Amino acid sequence: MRIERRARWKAARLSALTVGAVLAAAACASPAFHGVEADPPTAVADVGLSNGTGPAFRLSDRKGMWVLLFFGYTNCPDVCPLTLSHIGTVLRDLGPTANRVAVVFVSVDPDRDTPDRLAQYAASFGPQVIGVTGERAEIDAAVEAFGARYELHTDEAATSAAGYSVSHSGDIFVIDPEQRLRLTIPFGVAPDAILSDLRRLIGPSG
Amino acid sequence: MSNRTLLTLGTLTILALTAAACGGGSTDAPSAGESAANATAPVGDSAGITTADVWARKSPMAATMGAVYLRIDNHGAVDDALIGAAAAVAHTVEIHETTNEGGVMSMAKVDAIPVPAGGSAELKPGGYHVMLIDVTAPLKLGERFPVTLQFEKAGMITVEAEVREE
Ligand SMILES: [Cu+2]
Repeated sequence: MRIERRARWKAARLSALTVGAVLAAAACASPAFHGVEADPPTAVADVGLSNGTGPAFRLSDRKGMWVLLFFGYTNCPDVCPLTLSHIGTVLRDLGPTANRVAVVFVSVDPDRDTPDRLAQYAASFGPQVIGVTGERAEIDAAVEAFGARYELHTDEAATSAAGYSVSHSGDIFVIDPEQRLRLTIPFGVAPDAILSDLRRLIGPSG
Repeated sequence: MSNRTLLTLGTLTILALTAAACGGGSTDAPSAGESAANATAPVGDSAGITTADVWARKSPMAATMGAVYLRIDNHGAVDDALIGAAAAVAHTVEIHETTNEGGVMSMAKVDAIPVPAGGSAELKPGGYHVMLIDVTAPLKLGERFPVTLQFEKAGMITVEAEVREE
């Protein structure tokens, strides 16, 4: 009885060590993403933005590409240019892989962001970056599709000469070629970290 | 010590050792702006207010808003505060703060940025900035322009901002 029990413990200890080693090895092979992984990847509802006089946008037209999507507005002096500039850096560092990545800047401020203005603004950050907007209902649906948020503050006209500001989610949404959300990268993650996440997701050739 | 405790200890040790062994590869991203700003040494007097690393972001095409960032050190024995700014490159200049509430970024005008005695204030992306409203011309890479900072105690100090990519 006693011997039997000890043998059982020995077996249990061995299996626990094995499990421990396997877990540790797995952790070693796949360090955590800097962004928040969608596990399992979740299908994203199609996003359609009529984009005024500019070319209309449909997310489903980008199937087969990786898409980085970010909400903002061109009168945003801090968060939007910082994030887009980080994305621009990452695209440069991705090398040829960047050809399989599209960047979509969705303006939640269509009253001021004309398609022309948006196109110019977006292109400043790299050839892969486009800027689009649409009717309020289309924008709201797009924001909803990612569980993002935004809010226009026009009450600030009294206190800031800017006249208004827009609160908006600072996340970069990473969508795979099958149009599934794979990663949500919060505001402020350094370009190196974004680069490492994308390299890991996209891989060197696939 | 019971078998169970030994078992747990053994497993934990293995996990800890393995984690240590493969720790080199991944580092966490710094939180917004928690970068290398400390590297810049203060210039000028050993007393009073000094500034360092004054820069503005290059204007994206079509952009009419801009932001100036800098580090302010207070070497004096009296608390001070940045309470205003002016620059000829923009029609209006204000002090703003970006805040992050559950991932939603907001920007608002603030009356003052405290610069405590013996302490410092950092105006950096994702935090405080000097807001340039309606720039008179796009800010071009490498350009320099004067910014006059108004402090509650130290009065006006004019500094030169350099236009950078990021
Ligand atoms: Cu601002």
